[in-house]
Amino acid sequence: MTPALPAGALAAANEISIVLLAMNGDDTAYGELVRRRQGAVRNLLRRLTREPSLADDLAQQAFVHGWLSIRSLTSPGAFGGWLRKIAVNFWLQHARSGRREVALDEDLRAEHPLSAVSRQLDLDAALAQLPLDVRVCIVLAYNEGLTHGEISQTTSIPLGTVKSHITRGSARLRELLHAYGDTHVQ
Amino acid sequence: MSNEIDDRLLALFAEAHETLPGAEFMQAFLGKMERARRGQNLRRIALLVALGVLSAWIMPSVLATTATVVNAVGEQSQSFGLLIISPAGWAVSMLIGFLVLLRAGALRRR
Repeated sequence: MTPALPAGALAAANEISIVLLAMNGDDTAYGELVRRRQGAVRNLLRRLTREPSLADDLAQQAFVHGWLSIRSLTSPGAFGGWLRKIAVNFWLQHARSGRREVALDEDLRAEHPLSAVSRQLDLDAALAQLPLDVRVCIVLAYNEGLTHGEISQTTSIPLGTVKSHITRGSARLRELLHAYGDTHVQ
Repeated sequence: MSNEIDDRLLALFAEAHETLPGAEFMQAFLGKMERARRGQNLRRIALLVALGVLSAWIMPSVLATTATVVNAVGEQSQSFGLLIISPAGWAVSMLIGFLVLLRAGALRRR
């Protein structure tokens, strides 16, 4: 068993050391990993779900699942990708179970017609128009910066299909954003 | 990063990225983690109880089978003892002893 580090040392430690501690059952170390990764995972799920509260709920479920199964992680350096895969799978399970998605908040968009909030709402609304598999490929490519191969590994979608989803999804997304009146994407 | 990425869409995604306050999220996460921990402990206790009940249930038949096997082995070893002290047993024992000496080279001339 690796000895636990004090909280101050944890905050300054590199992620691989913290993952190793968490893999050895140190819950404080796992908490530090959650603190560091929560923003990225929540942003990813917000692009996929359009609903902040649902995104946070799924992110919490993903982190709890990660805590329960961190001993199955093969390499500490793979923690980020492993966690992302868990989060995407939680969203896919949720989305495929046929639960509703929230309607676009038209009032909020009307209040801020040219603001960043409006563009974010437009982006999320446009993403919601895409089929699930296309949406996850697009979000992983643009939001997470993953390559086609990494997206294929994360989602278990064949590589050729990923490429096709990204090409067609990007074109569709541009059309939809143009329809929403976003002058940035025309 | 793939080279088929649209820079304008990339900029839009970057703009949509928010810096989210973590305190409330962490509090909710720690609550769920605690519930998961309690659930894990309850499952472990339930497993131990189930194993205890199963052991108590099958133990009489395990003990009865063990006793039967021990009895059978005891009876077999009794008849084996009688076999050893019979003339045929003596002959076989002598033969085995001779073979052992032969193999060890004790009967070879120096």
